[in-house]
This record gives sequence, structure tokens and C-alpha cells, in this order.
Amino acid sequence: MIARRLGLSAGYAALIGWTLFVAVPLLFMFISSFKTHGEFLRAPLALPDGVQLENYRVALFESSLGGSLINSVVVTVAALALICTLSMMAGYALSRHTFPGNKVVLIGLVAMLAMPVHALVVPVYYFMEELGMRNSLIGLTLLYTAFGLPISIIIMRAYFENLPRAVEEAAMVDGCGKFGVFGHVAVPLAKASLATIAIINVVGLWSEYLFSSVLMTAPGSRTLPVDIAMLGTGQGGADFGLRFAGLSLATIPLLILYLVFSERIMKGITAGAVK
Amino acid sequence: MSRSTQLSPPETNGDTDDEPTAAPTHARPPSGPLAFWKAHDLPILFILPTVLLIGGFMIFPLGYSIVMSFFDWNGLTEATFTGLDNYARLIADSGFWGAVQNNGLFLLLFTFFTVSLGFIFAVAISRRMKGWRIYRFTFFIPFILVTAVIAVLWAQIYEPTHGILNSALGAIGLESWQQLWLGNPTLTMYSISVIAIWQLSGWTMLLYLGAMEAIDEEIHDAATIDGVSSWQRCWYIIAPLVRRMTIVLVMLQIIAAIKTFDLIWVLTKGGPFYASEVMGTLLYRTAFEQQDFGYASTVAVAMTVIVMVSTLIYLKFTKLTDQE
Repeated sequence: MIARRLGLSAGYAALIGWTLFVAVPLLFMFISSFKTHGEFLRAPLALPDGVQLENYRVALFESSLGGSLINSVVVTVAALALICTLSMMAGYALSRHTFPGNKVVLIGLVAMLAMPVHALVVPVYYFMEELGMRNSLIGLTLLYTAFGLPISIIIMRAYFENLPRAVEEAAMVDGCGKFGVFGHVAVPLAKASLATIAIINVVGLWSEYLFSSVLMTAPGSRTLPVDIAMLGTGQGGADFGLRFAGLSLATIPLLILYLVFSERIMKGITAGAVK
Repeated sequence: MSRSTQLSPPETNGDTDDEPTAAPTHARPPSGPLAFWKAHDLPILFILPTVLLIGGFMIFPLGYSIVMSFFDWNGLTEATFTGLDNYARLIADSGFWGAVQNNGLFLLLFTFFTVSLGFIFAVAISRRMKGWRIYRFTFFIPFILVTAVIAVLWAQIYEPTHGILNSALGAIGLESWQQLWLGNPTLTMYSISVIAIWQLSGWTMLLYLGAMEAIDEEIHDAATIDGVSSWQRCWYIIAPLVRRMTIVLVMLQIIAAIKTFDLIWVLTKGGPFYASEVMGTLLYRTAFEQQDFGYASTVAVAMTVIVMVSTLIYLKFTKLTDQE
């Protein structure tokens, strides 16, 4: 009985301790984003004198962060849309149609799962330079789409494999062509798993730093993670209030999604990783 | 989507399109390129964009990397073929081995703590301890943050003079514990590991939780009747039942640790004095600060081989456990 008590209190100590460990830095970030530079320097740990949104206004409208935020949103949404569409198409084709090249494609996809994409940064840089796609949101979107596809297609294919074919066969008997079956039967059925695809890709897309920092160097083409990193460490003169407002701005979009869809997101992460 | 039908050749589009699938007579074996196209137009059209994207952005660059690793090239002048010189240089390069060593320390700390903390948290949460929803929700938050944000935020926490860690230590009278958390070469790798563990323990927790909630409740009931203590329950009941997840997580974390880059680059750029240099930062520095693209490709190939070998071992392991 005493042992059980001890175990239980050790459990609570661990849980509460880690909650504080996670929450304190985040609260520090949000609270500091409401402070002026001077307030922060005087007492970094104190609460702000009042809630003022000046830092956010400056970050969004008077610094490069506003533009970077828009670039990040555009690239993330476009790449997600492409990954969802292409992985649904390829996953369906690999699962439902016997094409001589299917096996090669599938083996290639599994091999690409193991590929550390970081190692591709030098040739990708040159490739993009040659194609004139550096500093292009379209180029970055296509690159991110390629990186997201292998895992997404494998999940999509597994999803279609587990789906009974009866509905599709019935549609075919009713005179629906193969493209029609895909559009009218497979796509609506696949909608449920698109959420999983979006969830496992969104964090990586929104956070990507390495390729963006190398490819998007022109002013105005930067994405948020790169801009945030420049705000941060090295520059001694940077305004602290502005810095924390920038960090908060990069955090808020995904945090809101997580607040609203937390159950779904947690399920999606679990489903996506166990494949 | 039905618009795509128009992409198939118009002359055969009429009657044969729907017939072979609908009618019971699908005997006639097709021949010739046109028939091949007819039979496989959907998979070809649906897989082609993927093949182009992955071929162009992953397979072609990989091949290019391997070729460039045998060249001396600064990105501006002609590349010169130097055979295995870059590989000889890699083996003799103390900078590379230093990076491997730092990577190894990071790998051990990161993998051990994220997996074991994830396990402990998941046990507590799956046993529905009071407030479990709050813990589960909070622990996962760092996973959804931008890594660059985490780096800048923690740089502020570790900052020596007005960072919150040293300020807090000073406020409670522990001035002697104050440190140059990132500036001290012997500490910096540990300080960085703490951040990575902070970021990803919630993720391992979530995956363990999925595995633990699949355990049959009857097993727990039986254990309770037998008077099993909570420690015994962890070690002798839960741990063996989620063994497969443990293997998966360990391997995924090892691969992630080898690839780590953003966090360290934004925090310390591999410094001070290369004390936090890892393979990812070495690659970046060699390529984009020293413009030594040939040698950078060699480092990239070495990194790829290490990750691929780890992944193969991992796949072999999971296959083995599948057969049990």
C-alpha cells in the first residue's frame, strides 16, 4: 500500500513537473511579446505593465515578418493541397491497378522514406539555380511536395488496400468509367484519411528551415522559420518585444489548429507513424 | 475528375472505354502501344507527377551528390575529378570525427530520454491519473512548434546575463549554479539535448499511448487481482506488450538524431569552437560558407549511408518482431 502511494505520488510529480517545464517557456514567450524592449530588459521575468499589441503591429506591418508569414502560409497550404491530391492519385493507382511499373515505384518510395533529405541540399540548390527556381514560392512548394510524397503515398495506398472494393465494382457495373470510379467513389471514401496526410505533413512544412534558408535568400521571398532565426540569436541590437511577438506569430496558427482539433491531430499522428 | 477521361486517345474513347470492365467478356488480350496505354492510362497519369517530382528533387540530386563526391568543386570554376581524395580527406578529417562524436552524444541523450520519458508519461496517462487530458494536451504542444522558434526561445532562456534560467537561479540564491549554458564547450551539447528532449518527449508519449491503449483491459484487471505493484505492472506487463513500439521509437529517434540540424544551427552554428558541430551543420558549413561543394557532397554521402544503414537495421528488426 505504501509502495503504491509512493508510486502514485512519483507519477504525479513527474506529470506536473513536465507540465510546468513545457508551459513555462511558452508562457514566458507569450507574456514577453506584450512587453516593450525596455520593460523586458528591466525585469525579464515580471508581468508586462499592460497588454499592448504594439509589438504585433510592428511585426506584421513594419518588419519583414508579415511578408514571411504570408509566404509560409502560401507554401504550406499549396504543398499540402498538392501532397493530398497526388498521394491520393498515386496511392489509388498503386492499390487498384496492376501496372507493370508498380513494384519499382513502390520499392522506390520505401527507399525514399529512408533518404535523409538534408543530404540533398547541395545538388538541390544547384538544380533550382539552373532552373531559375530559387527565390520562387512555386519551386519551394514543388520541392516540399516531393519530400512529403513518399510517406503520404504509402499511407494512402495502405488505406485503399484496406478498403473493400465492392462499391467501386458496383459503380463499374453501373457503367462508370475508371476515372469516374476514382472521382465519384474513391475520392469521397479517401477524404477521411486526407486528414491524416495533412496532419503528418503540416508541422514539417510549416517549420522547414534548411532548404528555405538556402533557396529563399532574396528579401521578400523568405519564409517564417528563416526570418525568425535571423531575428533571434546573433543580432545584439534586436528589439526583444518584437522578437517575442515574431516567435508568437509563428506559433499561433498551428497552436489554434491544435486547440480546435487536438483529438483528431493526436489520432492522426498515432496513425501516421505506426505504418 | 471525369474530365481526365478526355486525355485518353479520342479514336478509341467511345465504346471500348467502359465496355471491358462492365461486360463479362474481358478475354481479348490487348497488344501494341495504344492498347497498353488504354489498359494503363489511369496508373500512368496518376503516378507520373509523383515520379517526376521525386525523380527530379530526390533521386537525381542523390545521384548528383554521389558523382560530385569524387570531384573538387567550388561551384564557380570547372569541377576537377579527384577520385577518392575527398573520401581520404573525410577519414583523416578530425572535424568530421568530432561532428560524429557530438552527434553520437546527442543521439544517446536524445533517444534515451525521449523514449523513456515518453514511456513513463504514457503509463501514467493511460492509467487515467487525475488530469490526464491536460497532461496529454500540454506535453504534445512543443511538437507543433517551429524548430527555429524553439531555438530562439531557448537561446533567450539560456542567455547568460538576463536569460530566465540564470535570472531564476539568481533569484533563489543559487548564483553558483549559473552557467554559460551554450557558451561553455563542455556543457553546450547537453544544453542542446535538453531542448530536443523538451520538444519530442510528448510525441513519443503519444505514440506509446496509442500502443498502451490497445492493451486488453482484462490483463490489467488480472494484474490488479493478483496484487501486482505499479512498478511490476510497468516492467513485467506493459513494457513487454509495447516492445514493438519501443523498437520503432528507438530507431526513429536514432535516425532523427543523425539528421538533426535546424535547432543546433540556429542556436550555436555548431560552436563554440565546434563543440556542438554535428554532421548536418558540418555539411552546411562546408557547402554554403566554405563553398566546398565536392567535399560537402562527400559528407552528404557519408550521412546518407549512415542513415540508410540504420534504417535497414530498423526494418530488419521490425520484420523480426512481426514474425514472433
